[in-house]
Amino acid sequence: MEENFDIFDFKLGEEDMDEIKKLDTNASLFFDHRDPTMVKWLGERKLNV
Amino acid sequence: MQSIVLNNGVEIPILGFGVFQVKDPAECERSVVDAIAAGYRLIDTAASYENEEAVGRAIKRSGIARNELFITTKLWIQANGYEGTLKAFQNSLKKLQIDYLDLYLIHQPFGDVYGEWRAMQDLYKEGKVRAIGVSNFQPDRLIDLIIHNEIVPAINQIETHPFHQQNQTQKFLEENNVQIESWGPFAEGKNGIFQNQLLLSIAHKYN
Repeated sequence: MEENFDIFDFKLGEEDMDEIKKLDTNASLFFDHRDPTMVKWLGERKLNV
Repeated sequence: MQSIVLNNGVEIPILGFGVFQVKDPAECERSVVDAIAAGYRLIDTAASYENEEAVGRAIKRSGIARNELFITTKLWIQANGYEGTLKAFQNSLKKLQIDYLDLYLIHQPFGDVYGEWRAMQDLYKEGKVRAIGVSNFQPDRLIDLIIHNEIVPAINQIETHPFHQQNQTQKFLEENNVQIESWGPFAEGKNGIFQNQLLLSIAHKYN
C-alpha cells in the first residue's frame, strides 16, 4: 500500500510513453457497456443498498 | 498530496484509495485505516460495494479531520430515479457517518439516469455534496446528459490502464470540462500486467 502511494518521485520519459501507447487495446478488460446482456444483468440485480 | 481543481472550483487529490471488492467488513475497515495512515486522503466507495459502513467506521477511527478527507460514493442503478436518489443519498451518508459528501457519482449509465441527475443537482445546490459526477459514461452518453441538464458533471470515472488508455475519451472529457478519474489503474491484475516485459523494464529503469 505504501509502495502504491509513493509514486511522485519520478517522471516517465517520452520514449517510455510512446512504448506504453503500444499496449493500448482500446477495449475494456471487463465488459462492454453496450452489451445488452450485461446491461440487463446489472440493472436487475437486487443489492443491499 | 497534489490536488487538481474541478470545473466547480473544488479541489480533489490526484490519488485515491478505492474499496471495490473489499467485501469483508473487518478487512475493509482495516484497509481504509491503513490507507489513511499511509497518506491517502481520497477514499472511494459505492453503495453497490456494500461496504460503506466499514468505510465509515474507518474514517471515524482515522483521527483525520473531516475537511481533510475527500469521500466519494456512488449511486446504484436500483435507486431508480429522483426520489430513490434522495433516499439512497441519505442512506449512504448514514452508513458513512458523515453529514456531507465530497463527490457523488452515478455509478452506471443505466436506469433513470436523468431523474437521478436532477436529484443530484438539487443535493449539490443544497450544499449536501461538494461535487457531482458520473462513472462509466461513454462520450455520447455524457454529452447527452450535459446538453439536457444544468450542471456539467465534475468527473467521469472510467476504466483507465495501459491496456485501455482512453486517449480519445480523455481529449473529449477535457474539451467538455469534465475531469477524468481512473478506475482499475492496474487492470485489476488482468492480462498479465504484473509480468508485462515492457512495464517491468520501465519500472526497473526508474526504481
